[in-house]
Amino acid sequence: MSVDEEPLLRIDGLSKEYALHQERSSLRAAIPGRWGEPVGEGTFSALDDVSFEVRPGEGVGIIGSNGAGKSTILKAVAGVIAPTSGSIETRGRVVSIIELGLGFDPDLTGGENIEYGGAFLGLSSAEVEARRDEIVAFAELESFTEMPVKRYSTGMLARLGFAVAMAAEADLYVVDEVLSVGDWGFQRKSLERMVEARRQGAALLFVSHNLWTVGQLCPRCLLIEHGKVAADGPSQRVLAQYLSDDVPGADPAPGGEEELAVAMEAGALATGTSLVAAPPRSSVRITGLTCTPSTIETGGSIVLTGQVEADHPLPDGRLVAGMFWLGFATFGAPEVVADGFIDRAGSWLFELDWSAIPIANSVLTFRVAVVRGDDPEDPEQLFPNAVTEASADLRVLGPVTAKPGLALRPTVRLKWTGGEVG
Amino acid sequence: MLGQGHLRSILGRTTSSEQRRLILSLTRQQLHSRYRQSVLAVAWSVIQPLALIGVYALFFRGVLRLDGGDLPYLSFIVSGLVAWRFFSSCVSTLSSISDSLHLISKAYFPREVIPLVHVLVNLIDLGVGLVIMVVIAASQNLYPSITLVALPLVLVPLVLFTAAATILASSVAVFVRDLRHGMPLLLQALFFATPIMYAPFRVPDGLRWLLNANPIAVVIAGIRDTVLRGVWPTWYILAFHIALAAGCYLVAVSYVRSVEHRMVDLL
Repeated sequence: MSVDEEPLLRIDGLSKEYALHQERSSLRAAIPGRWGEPVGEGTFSALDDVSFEVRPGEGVGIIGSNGAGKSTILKAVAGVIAPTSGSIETRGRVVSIIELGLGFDPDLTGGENIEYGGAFLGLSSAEVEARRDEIVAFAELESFTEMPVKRYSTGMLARLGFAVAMAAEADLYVVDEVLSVGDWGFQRKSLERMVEARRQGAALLFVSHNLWTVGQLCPRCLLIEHGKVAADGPSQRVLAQYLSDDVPGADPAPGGEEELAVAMEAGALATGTSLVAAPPRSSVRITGLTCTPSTIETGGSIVLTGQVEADHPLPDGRLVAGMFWLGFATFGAPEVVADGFIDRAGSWLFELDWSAIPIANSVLTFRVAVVRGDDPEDPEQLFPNAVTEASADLRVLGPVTAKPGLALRPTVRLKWTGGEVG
Repeated sequence: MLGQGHLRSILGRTTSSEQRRLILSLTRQQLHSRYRQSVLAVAWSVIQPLALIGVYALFFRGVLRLDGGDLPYLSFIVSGLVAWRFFSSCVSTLSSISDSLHLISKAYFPREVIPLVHVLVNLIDLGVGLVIMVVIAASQNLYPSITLVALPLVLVPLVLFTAAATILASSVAVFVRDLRHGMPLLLQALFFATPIMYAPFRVPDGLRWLLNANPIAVVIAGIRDTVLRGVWPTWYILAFHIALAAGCYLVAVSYVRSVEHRMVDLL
């Protein structure tokens, strides 16, 4: 095996146990060697025989419920906790981003902290200096480098921390749920930066609760359940399995895998700034999905416009639209907004009016898909049977004005705009 | 960039150059932060020891009528206090690893880095103290002679031994919290067992061997010899203590390496 094909990370039989009852005095643990190993009445197994590899350039997501062991894996890879058994091997530069801005001193300025933060990531002063401008520009803190970071906002701090971490030019980035602290613009930018790093050949091991983000960033996904690897494979399959495990009664549609893959790529493509370049494979497409305006106050209204383009008639095609928050359908399940309209090849302009958007201070994702036939009314988070899909983001500012669970129905206008499809 | 080298275990992954870089960076950060926070910071590192010396001189000389034997009392106690302050300030940072949970639970680096940073920061104060000592000695007509060149060698066991004690104390303190309460008592006992405020010849003959076994006492004797008396240190004792301190340092580092994997689990 040549060096380039060798994995960057190899985890073999990784297990981690914690004592359930910690002795009050840990005097014993101060003894080196076997004598100091914790003994307790019963142990809790946080990780149980976890094995996987990450190869150069791969994007691997780790998903699972809270307490499943995702972060434990990351901490073990970072070397912060020691495995009870099993081995973890790495090569090249591995940068673990478990917390943004690690090693920053609140009393020092942003400019000064760039260097100190870099040292924690193994960067030399020369490397930091060479990338200082790039870091400051990414963090958009040009006017704030002389300000102590204790006066920074959470978002500013997150941007600076992320910019420093990504400057490490690692072979493998290990990223815990760190993006959630920043605002919408930061999250988008960070995702783009990670996609860019992957494009340049870096591998990524990414933990997130935001399944949409995991799906966007990582072609491969690990599902961790009760400390074990419950699934390891293409993201769309693993995500679908996770969601079907989570929601009793819902099972991933048979044969929907390939179409789901198309849907995910199409979705990623349409998420504003086209994170992943993939050629449209479907004969039916949703193009130009736009949310106007892109920022509103809570309770405001928006118009979602777009175009359905079909190379062939799709009589059982239905247009489904839904509002998603953090990757999950929110304020009601996605609904069928138009049915049986693709009776010929052509393109249709649609306008969906949503009024009184209730969610607060967050980013909503509107997803529109063309699905076929008798799909269940609840097409799940990933629209398993979508022929094509697109999404657009909306930033909502202001306090909550309605309780979750309130279903909002958009009013729909659909117009056939011609038989020629370009 | 991509794919250099072969897989290796993450244990002991940090290279010594990365480690050195981190120690230096953290030290600079500490100093930076310290001198940024207070306007008088630089002045404080002079005023503080001077005030301490003043109080001690007044009490031990003025009240207890102690003397420095062949040396003027002020120069005598300054030379002792400079070394002692370095040792006790470093060892008193023993909760440094526990207090750095936010760092050690988020990134791996050899855990002795944290206590070593405190030792390096205190080295600055040691340097300032030594200059103050030379100035005070000169004011009492004890001018530096050629033997001053041996001073760095005399300080080697002090720094190594202090580093060893600081690493050991801060790593044991992770597991044994009581050490934080016990350490001031231990330091107090060691302070009085070391001829800092009283002349070594006041120690009863039967206990004289203790002075040669106590690394701090040996270093203080060396400082007094080389800086104040202008005589060379007792070489064989010095050599023995350099070797002893180096051994202690290696033991301390291998100790922390052998228990560091349990620290995050317990904190």
